[in-house]
Amino acid sequence: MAHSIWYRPSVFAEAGIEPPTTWEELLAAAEVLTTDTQYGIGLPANRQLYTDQVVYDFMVNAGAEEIYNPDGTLRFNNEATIKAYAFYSQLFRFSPPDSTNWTWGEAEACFASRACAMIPQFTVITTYDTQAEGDPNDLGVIAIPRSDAVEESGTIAYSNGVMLLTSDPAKIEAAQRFIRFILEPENYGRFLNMEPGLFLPVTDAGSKADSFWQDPMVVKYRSQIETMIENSKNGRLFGFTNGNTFPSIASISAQNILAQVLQMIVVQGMSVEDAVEAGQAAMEAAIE
Amino acid sequence: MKRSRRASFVLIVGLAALLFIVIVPFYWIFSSSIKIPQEIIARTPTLIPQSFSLQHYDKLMNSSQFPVYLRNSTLVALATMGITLLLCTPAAYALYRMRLPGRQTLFRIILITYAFPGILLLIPLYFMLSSLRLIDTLYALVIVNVTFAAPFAVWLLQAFFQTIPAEIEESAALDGANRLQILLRIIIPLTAPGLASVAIFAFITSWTEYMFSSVLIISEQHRTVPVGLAGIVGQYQVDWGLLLAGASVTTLPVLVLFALVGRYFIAGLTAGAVKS
Amino acid sequence: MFGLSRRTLVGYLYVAPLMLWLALTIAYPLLSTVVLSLQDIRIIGTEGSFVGLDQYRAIFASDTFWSSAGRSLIWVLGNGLVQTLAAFIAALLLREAFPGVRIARVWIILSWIVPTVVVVIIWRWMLSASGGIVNYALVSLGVAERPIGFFSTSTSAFASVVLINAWRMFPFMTVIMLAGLMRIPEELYESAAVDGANAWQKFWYITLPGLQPVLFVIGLLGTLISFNTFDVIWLLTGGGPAGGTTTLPVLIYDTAFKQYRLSRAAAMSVVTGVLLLVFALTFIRLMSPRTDAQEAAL
Repeated sequence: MAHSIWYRPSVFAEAGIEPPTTWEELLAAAEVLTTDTQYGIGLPANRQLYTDQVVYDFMVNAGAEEIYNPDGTLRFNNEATIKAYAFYSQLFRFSPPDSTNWTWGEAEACFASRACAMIPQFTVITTYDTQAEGDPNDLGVIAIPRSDAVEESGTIAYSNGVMLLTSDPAKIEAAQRFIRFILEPENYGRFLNMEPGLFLPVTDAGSKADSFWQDPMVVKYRSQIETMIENSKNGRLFGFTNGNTFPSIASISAQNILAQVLQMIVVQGMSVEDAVEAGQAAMEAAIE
Repeated sequence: MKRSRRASFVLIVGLAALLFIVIVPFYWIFSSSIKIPQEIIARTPTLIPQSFSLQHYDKLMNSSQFPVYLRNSTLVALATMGITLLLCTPAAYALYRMRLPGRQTLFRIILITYAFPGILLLIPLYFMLSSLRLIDTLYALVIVNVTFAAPFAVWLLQAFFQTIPAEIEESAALDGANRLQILLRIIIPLTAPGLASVAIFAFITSWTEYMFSSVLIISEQHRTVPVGLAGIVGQYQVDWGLLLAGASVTTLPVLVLFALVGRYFIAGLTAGAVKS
Repeated sequence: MFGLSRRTLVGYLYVAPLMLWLALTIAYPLLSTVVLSLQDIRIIGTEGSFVGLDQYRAIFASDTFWSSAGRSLIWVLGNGLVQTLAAFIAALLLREAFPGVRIARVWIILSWIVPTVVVVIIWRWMLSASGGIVNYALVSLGVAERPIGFFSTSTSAFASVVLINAWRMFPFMTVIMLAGLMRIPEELYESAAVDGANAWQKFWYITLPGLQPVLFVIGLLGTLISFNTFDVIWLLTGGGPAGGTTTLPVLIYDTAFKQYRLSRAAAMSVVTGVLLLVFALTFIRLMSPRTDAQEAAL
């Protein structure tokens, strides 16, 4: 799973703008697209995992993907993080007023009802197809725009690993056989298409499998899914960056500290610098 | 007392406002649950459905976990109801009809537990049920729900037990009936409306409970309706049609039960309020 | 046997199962909370060591605890005010005779009996800033220029949750209030009218004193029930935004099951319990009505 920005090409054409690739263009687009009946972009600011994820999208694109130093100490409080939050709070002005209470679904609903012109989301395909107009030619998907600090757009991505919580050799053996079965190209596509567009293939053979590409929904939205797969290649996940794994990220994630920092800024009106500093302190307390 | 024209006007406006506040939100979720998805999220809301579709109910019952939640909630509610009745009927009989020494103290203790904030018990009960290996079982929920339903149930029964004339019991005793026989053959039939309202109260308490269920239940297959529905809200997609259908189906059993014995429940509540 | 009559013994036997049940599920857990609060257990299943009063020191030094306690106080007062007022008006209306009054007196309770999660779904949906009917109505009627974010700031979220909770709870209060109103004899009003009393005087000298017993019940039970509210707040706002709706129950839940500090949460429960006990005793001492009805009941 990886985030992308979703939009409607017809709405962009009417406003006379091109899909943004940089932060300046994204901010300008959100401003132009905000009208009496439409919000430029739907951004979550709830104390919730979705907000953590979108905040991290912007952190990745500001060059702040590392929350930890290689030795396991925290480096959250840095210039790049501050830059990401500062941009997020600017962009947030064009988001619906109740997005401080949003989860994933509300962002999708906002997009489906045309109240939001853009949203960052894993996928909207199923919602768009069943609850909105369902026209594949009018559903656009692009990579999350990047700041000038990075060369290439990145995103949050989950490459869902498998955890085996047993030491019984027979069970391990059985689990391995099951995973091998799931990953067989003829089965893998069906497994992923439990939610078409949300789960993207992580194996090379899987990304070519007929079982994946023959699904009717995938056939209909093929170009969007290809773009999503492309965007996912530059994916990151907090706590699991550059070959390191920091198990204490669980405590930070459970308390949604990334989202809490955002709320300090957009709800409580704290300065970005103070909020990020308070965030690092909260993280230190959480992992002590 | 005759009302003046002005008083009648105020009364009608006031009642209309009350009706609006209480009923309209329910009308709005139910009427929307039978609309097609595009109409549900349409920019211009339609007060009277322009489309008719049972697709959300179909999805809810046939391709979601909702039937599992429904089954769990029903089992827990029925067990809560049964145990509450078994515990409270004899207790209420003894408290209200047997002139038991110290009954005032007992009654006060029960009244205090009624208002006892459940949040203070959340953590210790979690530990206790965990050491009994009851976490992630429906038994845990039954135990908790009975604890919160029983005190109020005893309170409710007061009005029904105190209206039975003492002579009936005395003549039964003269005929040689013992206490248990009197309770079973005379008191229970005479207090049937009271027992029915206790039963629905216990059912509703259990049917509605969220906080303990969200902590004590871990696996999907043991989840109850409130936690299950709340989970659907927090998922990747908010399917409003599905949620509204779920909310409607969840409300239905409560409405049916209440339609049957609601007036006794209100009567018990009313009598309890002015007597305690 | 033991100087007790057989009859009395049977009576205690009938009450015993209930008392035993309550002792095991309320009294025993309460005592174990105190034990837990003196340790440093974070997650269930791990061994904690004895840390004395450390958790209490941490709580007393924490801004979050006291700001949540303050919010709980405002929560209880706000709910009490809105619910009592709404219930009083509704009860006055339902005291009158009109066609369908018997049905109305029963079904007024509707929003109190439906599951909280349904209440939450209803209001989250109706109050949404993108497509909710309330905002649609406000904008169409020209009351608001753009949709209002009812949960967007700490203050507006708090007020919205109070109103939604009051919507859920006021019917219960209405039934109790109506019971109180019906007990006031009609003759009192009639003779007051003969003496030339105006509406305000009737309210002040007849209605209010007549309602005192039920106001006592509402004041005590209502406060404790309001205080205990968790699910409405948690499901509507999760205690946010930015902690703006975090009352003590939400804080305890969050500390125990989001931050995984069970002993800390247990200590908070103990402190909260003591605060509530002080409230209840003070309230009973100051406000307890001494009426015949009460003595007859006890």
